[in-house]
Amino acid sequence: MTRVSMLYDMQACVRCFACSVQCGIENRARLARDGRGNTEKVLADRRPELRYIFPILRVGGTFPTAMPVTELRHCMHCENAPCARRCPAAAIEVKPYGVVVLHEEKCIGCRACLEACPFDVPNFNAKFGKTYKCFMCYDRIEAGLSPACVEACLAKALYFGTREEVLEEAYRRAENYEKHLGEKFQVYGAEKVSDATGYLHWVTVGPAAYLEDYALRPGAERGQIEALDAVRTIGWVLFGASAAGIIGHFLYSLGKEEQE
Amino acid sequence: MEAKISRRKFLKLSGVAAFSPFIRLGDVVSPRTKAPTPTDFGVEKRVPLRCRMCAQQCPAIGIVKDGKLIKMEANPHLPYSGICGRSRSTPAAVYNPDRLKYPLLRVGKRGEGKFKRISWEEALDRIAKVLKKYRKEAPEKVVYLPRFTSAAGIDKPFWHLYGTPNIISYADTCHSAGHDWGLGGYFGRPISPGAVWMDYPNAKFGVLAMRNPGGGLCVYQFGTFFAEGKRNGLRLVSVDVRFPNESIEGAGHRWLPIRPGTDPAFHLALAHVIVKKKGYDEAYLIEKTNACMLIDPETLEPFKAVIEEKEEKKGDKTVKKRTMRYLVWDEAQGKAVFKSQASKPALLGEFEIEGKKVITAFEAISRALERYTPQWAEKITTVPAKEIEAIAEELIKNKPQVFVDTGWYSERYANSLRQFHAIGLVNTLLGCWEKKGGIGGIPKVKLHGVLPKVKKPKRIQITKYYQKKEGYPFIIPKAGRRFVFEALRTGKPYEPKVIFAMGQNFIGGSAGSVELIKLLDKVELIVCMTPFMDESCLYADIILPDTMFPERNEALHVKFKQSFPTVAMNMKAVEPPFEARPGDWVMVELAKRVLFSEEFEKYFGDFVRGGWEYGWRKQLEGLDEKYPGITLERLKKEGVWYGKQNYKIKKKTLTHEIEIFSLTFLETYKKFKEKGYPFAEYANPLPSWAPPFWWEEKKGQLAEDEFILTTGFSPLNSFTGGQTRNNPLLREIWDQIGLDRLWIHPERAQKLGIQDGDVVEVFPAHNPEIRATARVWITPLVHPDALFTYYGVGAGVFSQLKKFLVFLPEHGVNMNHFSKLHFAPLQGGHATQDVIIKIRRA
Amino acid sequence: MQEIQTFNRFQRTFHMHYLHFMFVFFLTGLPQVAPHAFRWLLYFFWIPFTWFSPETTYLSGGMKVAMVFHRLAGLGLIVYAIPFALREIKNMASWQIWPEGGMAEGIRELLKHYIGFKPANFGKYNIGQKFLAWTTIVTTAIMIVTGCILMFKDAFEPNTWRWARFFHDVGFFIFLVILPIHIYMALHPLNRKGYRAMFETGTFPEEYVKTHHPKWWGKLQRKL
Repeated sequence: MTRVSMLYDMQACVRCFACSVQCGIENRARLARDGRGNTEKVLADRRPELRYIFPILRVGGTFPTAMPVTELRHCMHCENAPCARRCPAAAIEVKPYGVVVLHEEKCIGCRACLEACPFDVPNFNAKFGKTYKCFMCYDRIEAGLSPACVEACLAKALYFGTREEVLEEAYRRAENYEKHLGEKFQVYGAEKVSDATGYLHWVTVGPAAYLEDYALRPGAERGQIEALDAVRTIGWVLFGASAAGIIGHFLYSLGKEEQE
Repeated sequence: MEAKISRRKFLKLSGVAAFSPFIRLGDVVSPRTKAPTPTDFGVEKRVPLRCRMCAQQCPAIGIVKDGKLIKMEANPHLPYSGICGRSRSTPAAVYNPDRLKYPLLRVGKRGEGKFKRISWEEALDRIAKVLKKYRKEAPEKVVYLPRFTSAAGIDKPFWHLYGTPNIISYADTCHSAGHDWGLGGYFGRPISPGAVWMDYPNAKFGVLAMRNPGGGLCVYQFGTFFAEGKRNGLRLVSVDVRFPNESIEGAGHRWLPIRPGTDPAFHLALAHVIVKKKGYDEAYLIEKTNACMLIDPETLEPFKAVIEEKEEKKGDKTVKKRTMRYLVWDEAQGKAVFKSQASKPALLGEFEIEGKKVITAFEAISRALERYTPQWAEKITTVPAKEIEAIAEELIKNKPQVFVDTGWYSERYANSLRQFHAIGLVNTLLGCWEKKGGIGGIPKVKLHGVLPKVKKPKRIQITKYYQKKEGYPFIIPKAGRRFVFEALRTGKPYEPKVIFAMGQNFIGGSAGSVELIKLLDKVELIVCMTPFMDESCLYADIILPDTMFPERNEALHVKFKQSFPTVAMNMKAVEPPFEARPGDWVMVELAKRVLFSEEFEKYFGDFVRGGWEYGWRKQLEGLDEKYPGITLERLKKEGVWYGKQNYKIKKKTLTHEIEIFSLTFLETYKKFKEKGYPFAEYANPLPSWAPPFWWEEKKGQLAEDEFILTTGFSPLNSFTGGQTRNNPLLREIWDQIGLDRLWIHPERAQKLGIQDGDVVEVFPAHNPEIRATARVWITPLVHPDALFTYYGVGAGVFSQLKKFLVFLPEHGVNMNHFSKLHFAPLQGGHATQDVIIKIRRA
Repeated sequence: MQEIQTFNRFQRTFHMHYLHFMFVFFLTGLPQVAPHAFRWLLYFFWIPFTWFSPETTYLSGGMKVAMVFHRLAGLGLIVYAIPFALREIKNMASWQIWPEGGMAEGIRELLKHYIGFKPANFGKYNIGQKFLAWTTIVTTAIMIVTGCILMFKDAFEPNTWRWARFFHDVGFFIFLVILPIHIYMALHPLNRKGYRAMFETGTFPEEYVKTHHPKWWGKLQRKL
């Protein structure tokens, strides 16, 4: 099946956050569509977790060379989705076209996905007891539309298509920026980012120098995530070994009597 | 231990347990999100709209389902289309519980905020009664203040018929006239932000000074053009009191912090370096401008120039065309001749003609620039001299695919006229006007009026009076709302008696709000029509609930920040709530009551009978040849029509060239110098520095607790309109990024013992009684002399507003509340930031 | 024959409660740590629950019930463990789980008994049992601390949760490995007297101590 992908271009973005607003609006429209409230009610309710893409501002440096870096946080739709692996309620589905969907009705609010995510993406709402994250508007994708934030982006900083299309566009943009601006640009997520995540279905084009400020650490490694995966594998192996030992000793013990 | 369990329950439970393997063990509830089906989209109505969340009217599409506006999308039929986050939050404004629902009549004192509900009948009758009275006595004393009015096409004819010339916009609180005439001098007519566009997509390098195309976001087309420029690898330098992250976050850009109000010095120094290095476009200056014009070095008068008058046919009218023919020094012939006769005009030089010393205009400009060195500028602006030189080099190297952004919101300090004059000079030296990658002219579309044309009444217009008689020659009469209050203060030319604000927040939007409200006692009737309560409504006698833009049909609109001519439609998408009614209906109802029945029939009859179908067809009548493809059907279906891209900027100068030496300025300069006028220097056609008011007051030195409070537009807020500042969906993001915060430099904060997140009291030094609170953000992204806050967040000084607007942030200041009722010299802009502000821990 | 007290009342009831709690921990924890393999366990938690709350699924409803029991058991364990730990610490002088002799000797004797089926030179506990005791003490502490962090997530940062989850899983796997061995040993004929001591009388016959736990017998004699 053809995989889809998204692109976020940090250089083109004008930090207007129309994407964030539109995501909130689209989710409210979904609530109304699914009979979970009328238009007025869903618009008046404060549901910040329904803006699956949202800004986090960081500032580095000192005056006058200080610089802000606005991280646009959203799900990276990892190839190996650690969140899907860990979800005890099997609420996270990895679609054949690559999109990672957290089904709200199945979520039990345990936040194992948040523990598992190296990008700190899932957002928990205590009032509803559920965790939320971007699902790349899979319902729109399946209806032949692009995700809401892509439609919203007036700077064409957000781009959606097949993975081939998106990677081609991403590399073209990175090359173009390098040519005109003389700085190294990176396409984060095009290649495998770490063993835990694999490659990302949402790639980011940005100056290599800032990507770390942008919380896109080169390895996206969270030692604990890899360690936990290892523990769970090793643990069962050891259990198997000890179970074998017990059975062995049991068989050995059969017919044996204690000697005085 | 015995468990107390009834036999019945036991049987029930065990029965369940026993049969459990046979109970269906799948999901009991169906999944909560389902994919939209074609029928979901089939029942959605898509209606063309023009967004009014800010004043720019970007074409958009409203998505309507079951009679409700659920989403906004960009109009896909435009080559540069898009709408911003505010526009996308429109549903949260349309269905906002704080919408004004009914006409209201004041019952307490003005400003108390006590109103009672009345019927539309009563409201209109009350207004009509007063209007009828003044129509007999002095209709000019009725002032109409429109702002992206829902009555476009209907209101102006009505008020002109009524007899008042005072239809006044609020551009004096934005770009009128420092920007408009500062740049306008070069073109012989006002150059507003709606007159020129930067060719961001094709430019190589640009300077943004007091301009943030990402923050002061106008998506169609400046915003989308800007984004394309960024995508193409445009490099930018931003000279700003704060780091404008909307524009220059990313690689390849630089921020140069500048002391508030000192921008003219920066641009003058840029011009100085360009001239010194001979980096200007010599051929351009000689050919396209009056740089070679010979002038008297003392009086600056053009030497022996003649003015020719010709009659020209323009359509079916005959107009008189005046042209100045001037002398230049032809190096080929070694003598002074008219420019058309010269083959090699001298750009620089001093010459003697018949015993008289003359110089070229450019020579005068060069000499005037001599003292404006980068070192001089550094002392005033705090921008390092070598940075200024580097920018000039970059501009010279890449011209003409460069620009110094001509800006937008200019009226912040007294010296804005000189600031924009200097910006115009730099762009002229670089020869980037009308060039690809430089600066183009915004083309105009002319449609017919909805109603038969009404001539403007010959009575004295307030702003025209101040322009002609009170030393503000550069006022643009159609923009100058604060002069209405100056008229109240001085009684000249007369005291306005009725203020009808159709969407304008004249109190919250004008510098000197607190001084202004004291003058309102003299006004007999104040009417405000708007969808949300604001500062002006608090002082109104009658409040009329306006519709929001998706709730009405409107006249076709042609004024966009466009590089190609555009016409766009706004059609009614949903019903208005409660008793909100559109402005055009109100105008018709007033017309019915106030005008004579013959007048009414003549001007309004057809519109009343035919409605907007009639109105739209009237606007488009016979124009399909001039604008091929412009049909009502297309506009209803696709929402827009557009033409070819245009770079040409129209000139109305006497020389019909770009006047790098402005004769318009010279005329005023001469007159004012003669009169011994204190601000005559402001009209100098040669480059000249003028400081802001605060600099004069403080000799350039602010005390430890003194700041200049600066503001800028956020792409998530717009002015003081409740549609954005009282919007729950936008408020969610504001909280996330601290949009309502007051930015302060770390060193300054430390000296005052202020910590990040503290709530501080903000007040002007000249009147400590005017106070408001703000929450502080300590950041190195702001100049030490400045405080910065996004414009219009919070109730500021008018805390009674919080009662009516529940989604306002708890703290937040509005610069205008603190400012003075003063005016920028010669042009009347509101110079809102030009006062000293103090803060202290709350 | 004389009986010698092996486990006091408190120790035996604590062990019993801990055993019950552990049962609950495993049944309710397995679906969390290995959801794809043990999800079917949740049916048992969900079915009685769904009678009260029909709108849930076996996963969400079952998981929520399971987590409630898991946490209740955790709280129960803490309530019991704190006084128990305090009492044991008070009696630290009489602990028998300290090393007695070298590792090589300990393992030799262990194999002599469990492979050779001969009585060996043990103290009160053999080296394997001492290892289990220390491991249990440490792992119990880890599980309680990390369990509290995971139960009160909002008081901590996500990074802390990740460490807590890691060690909680490590602890789980430690128990997963050592407890089956412990239970097997508890039921093994060789340790019948031990089973009797823990679950029935709390004592060993004197002769048995002399023959099977000579080092301990020696200590007891010296004390007298």
